[in-house]
Amino acid sequence: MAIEEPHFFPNGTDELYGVFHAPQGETRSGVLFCHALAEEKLWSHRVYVSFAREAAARGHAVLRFDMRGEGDSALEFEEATVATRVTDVITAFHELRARLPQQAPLVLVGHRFGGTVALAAAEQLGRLVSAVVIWDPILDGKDYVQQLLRTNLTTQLATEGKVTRNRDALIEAMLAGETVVVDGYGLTGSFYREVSELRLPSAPALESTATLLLEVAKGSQTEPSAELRALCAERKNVACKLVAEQPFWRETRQFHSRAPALTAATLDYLASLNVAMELASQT
Amino acid sequence: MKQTVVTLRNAEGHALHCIWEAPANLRRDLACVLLSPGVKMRVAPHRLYRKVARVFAERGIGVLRVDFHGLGDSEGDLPEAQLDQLYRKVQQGRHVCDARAAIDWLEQDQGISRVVVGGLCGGAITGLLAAESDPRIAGLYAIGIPVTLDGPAEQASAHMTRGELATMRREYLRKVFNPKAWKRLLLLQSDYQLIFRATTASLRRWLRRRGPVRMQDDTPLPAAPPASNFNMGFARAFFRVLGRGAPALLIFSGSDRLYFEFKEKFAEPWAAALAPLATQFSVEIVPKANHVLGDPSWVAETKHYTAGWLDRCFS
Repeated sequence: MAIEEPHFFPNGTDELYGVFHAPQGETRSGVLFCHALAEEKLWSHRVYVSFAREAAARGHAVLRFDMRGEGDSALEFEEATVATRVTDVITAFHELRARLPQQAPLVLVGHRFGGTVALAAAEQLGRLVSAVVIWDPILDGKDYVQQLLRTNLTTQLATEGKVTRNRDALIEAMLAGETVVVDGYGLTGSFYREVSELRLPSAPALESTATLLLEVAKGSQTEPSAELRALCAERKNVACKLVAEQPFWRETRQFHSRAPALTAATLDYLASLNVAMELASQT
Repeated sequence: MKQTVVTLRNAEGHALHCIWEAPANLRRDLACVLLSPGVKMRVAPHRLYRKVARVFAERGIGVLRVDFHGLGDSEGDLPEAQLDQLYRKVQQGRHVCDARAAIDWLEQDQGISRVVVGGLCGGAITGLLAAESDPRIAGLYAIGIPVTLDGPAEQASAHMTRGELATMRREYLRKVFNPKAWKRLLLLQSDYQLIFRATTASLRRWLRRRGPVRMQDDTPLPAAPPASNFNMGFARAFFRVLGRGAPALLIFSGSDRLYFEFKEKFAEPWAAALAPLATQFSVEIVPKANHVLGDPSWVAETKHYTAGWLDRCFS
């Protein structure tokens, strides 16, 4: 197995936890992996580890890390915001970059909400980022919060026997200053506002950054959703692909330690970036 | 409190990546090891372990949070594709070697040879099974400890507790005059096994009590034959650990089947054998809470019980 180095690194006065997966052989690229939000991150953790190990075995250096408010990094979940998460991605990016040869392409790979944050960070990092890959992108922040709140309703049913506050009431409560709990994580009004404003198709980074959107097929879906197809048709630097994968970020009866389709599509894309860069350097 | 990454190796050679949380006033006579819950890693759901670790740290007790092999950031692979199979392996003690490696590190690196071990669910049962054969374990800290062995979900109704079956029975009685329910029954869409079990629970329990009870080791005899999915390893370890004087804190969530399983499948059948040990273990219930204590008020209660137990047993 390649060398794996778990460590803390500074982000201002706080600390971030990360694991650096050293590449086997010559470094082909650097990958910063940006995790999903809250419990989705925990269910997915082993998939992230496996992806990083497979990528490292193919010559890609990978840094996985915990954004503040999650995992072993600083701050309480309720203290972290979208803005702190974007700062964390930028800090981790420089941590990774410092370990790599100067010419290595640097790619952000993000899962669900982590992809949204990666795209926002890519806007600030500009040309330092060669590409962004998003696993199962979240297109609309408002819809995403609705999905999160569904978990609160499930908990109400399980512990109270009935739903006493529906999603509208929960949103109203958040906006009035209450912290609404989802799976043990507190959602504040300010976090709700920040997330609700996020719309992936209008992310500024999509105007210039090479981006691959890997949508996980739902039910009998055979092609990417209409919104993704429209986005790709509009922008030459954005590609989208439908992949068949289990929803490993949710609780199911299966133990998911790998995401074979997402991993293969991502590694193929990283290989194509290397080819493109080699061609560019020859000309 | 200072957090440090610790990488140690278990007996099989897997690197286990852990976090050592050491307060400034670190005690050298006692530490705590929190073990991975289920397939979640060393932070536990909604970072529960970081929250409860503070209670230990406030008392100068360092906490080592451990990723089992094959989980979290650690090395190794777990072969099971189904969670119930994986949980069953945990309940049978697959990760006891990881717990032992963590205690070895505390002893060799920190000079601490007396530990409280446990965690949530899989972490709790692993702590108990490790404690059975490791005298360095001075106390068991168990949140939602399972007393049964998981099996295929399709067989879940076969192992329901009396409480769960009574709830189902009430639900079926409520539906007696519901035409839609009868339609489902006649169209073969109902769970007949569950209906049978819910409506005949008392009779089957009475019949089961008639059978002889035998134990293969020094585990005390229960008043009735154990449930078919009961983990005999749990009973054996529980009596051995408490038998050598180690205290245990068992915290259960009020809305969690694990509490009813503990009560009906262990505490009641073994009530006579447990009576002399009553001062050694505390059972605390967090009313209404779900399995992962997913609400700040439930976490606060858990911390309260933890603090009281530490002050009583390890001050």
